[in-house]
Amino acid sequence: MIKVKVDFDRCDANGTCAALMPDVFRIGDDGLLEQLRTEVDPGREAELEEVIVCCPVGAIARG
Amino acid sequence: MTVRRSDIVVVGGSVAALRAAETVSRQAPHLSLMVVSDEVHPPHERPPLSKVGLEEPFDREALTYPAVASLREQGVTFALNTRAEGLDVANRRLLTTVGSLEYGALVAATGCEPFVPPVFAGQPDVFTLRRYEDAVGLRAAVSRPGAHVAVIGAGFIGGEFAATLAKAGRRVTVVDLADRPLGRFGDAVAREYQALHRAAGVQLRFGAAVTGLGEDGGRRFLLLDDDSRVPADVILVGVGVRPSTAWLEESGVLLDNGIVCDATLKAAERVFAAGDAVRWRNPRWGATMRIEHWTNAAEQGRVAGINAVNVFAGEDPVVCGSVPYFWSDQHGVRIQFAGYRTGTEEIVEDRNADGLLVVYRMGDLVTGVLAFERRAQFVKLRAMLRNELPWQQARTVLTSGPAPVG
Repeated sequence: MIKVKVDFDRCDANGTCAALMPDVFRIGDDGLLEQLRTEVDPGREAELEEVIVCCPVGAIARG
Repeated sequence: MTVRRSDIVVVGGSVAALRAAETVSRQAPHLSLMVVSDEVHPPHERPPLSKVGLEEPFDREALTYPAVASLREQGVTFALNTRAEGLDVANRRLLTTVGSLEYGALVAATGCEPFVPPVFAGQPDVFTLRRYEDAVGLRAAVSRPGAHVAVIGAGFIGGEFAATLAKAGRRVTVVDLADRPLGRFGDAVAREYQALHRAAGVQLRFGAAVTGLGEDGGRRFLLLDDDSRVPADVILVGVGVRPSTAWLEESGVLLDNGIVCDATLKAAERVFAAGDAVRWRNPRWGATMRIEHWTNAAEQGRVAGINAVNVFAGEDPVVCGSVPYFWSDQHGVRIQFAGYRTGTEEIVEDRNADGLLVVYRMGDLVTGVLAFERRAQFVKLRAMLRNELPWQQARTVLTSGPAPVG
């Protein structure tokens, strides 16, 4: 499994991650980001890479 | 001049270029990699240029992408202050202000430059926001006591900086040729946008053309086409950008208001492109488009990087299918759009106490969504838009259940 880390101090709740991997990230009703899983299957490496490079504040990283 | 060589050369100094370099470095660390940029600084974040508050720290080191340092550690060369001047596709050579560079594959990510109408060109205290120095100069100019700022263009750069000024208690007037800026997104969006700025104390002069500049008692003003005047000690121009593609004009690479690419972002043999300058066939929408927004640049950088590596690996290129997206924070309200519209859609408004959600509907399909706040619902629709989105599915996200048409 690949560990997924969110830097909530940087997070701006832009939601790009939640649009790309909605089963891992979610924007809650309060408008803030929630991380639903801390690990993803290795087969989703490319998806996670897209999430990492497309986060406008660089808040997501592999663990 | 000596001819240098790099397996992969990335041309550009912004997020598309950086993401391409990161992707190459990650996927093929054995390949030599050079980033050629005409800027004096390594790639840094640009969204903060219009978003950071006047009282907040504005430090270039802090804005520099952290990946720059790790790429340098891995041996990636950043050739800064180096402008691309031509491309020889047949001989795989990039011509620059400091000599030629041979490449195995190249990523063109030179982005766009702001357009400055002739009436403002070369005038003092006239700014655009593209580079770090632009923002430093603008922030210094607007900090002069009593300075009145005129923002030309009510788009997102202008709107964001007007909001930044209003927050700091500065006097600002936004001037736009259009009667209803953002009207292309529908009447409700145009009204909401206007009301947002008015409520924050921003003066708005919409449907007004600037016919000239004048001076009265040492203070500059804009002369508008109804003969009225707008104080303009400092002017920010945000009326649009043009692709920076002059260096490709003799190369044979097809240009048409941007670098014309196929669905894999290929522009020519061993040449891929990424970012604001790219006009490509987006397979998600079956349409050719050029997108001037951050996440598109980042994603295209990644795809172009993969495809540059695939040239060496002998693998097939991957396609770049994506949902165009932008966000803008103004007066504490987040405005977001996702999708791709033709402009002929039916507009479905869904307003509640939290904000406005607007869905663009073409027959049974939804092609886009725009929101003022409504963040949780917006992101659900944005995720759904990655695939063809039937109206019936999108409806489930809306709160007030607007009357279905047809």
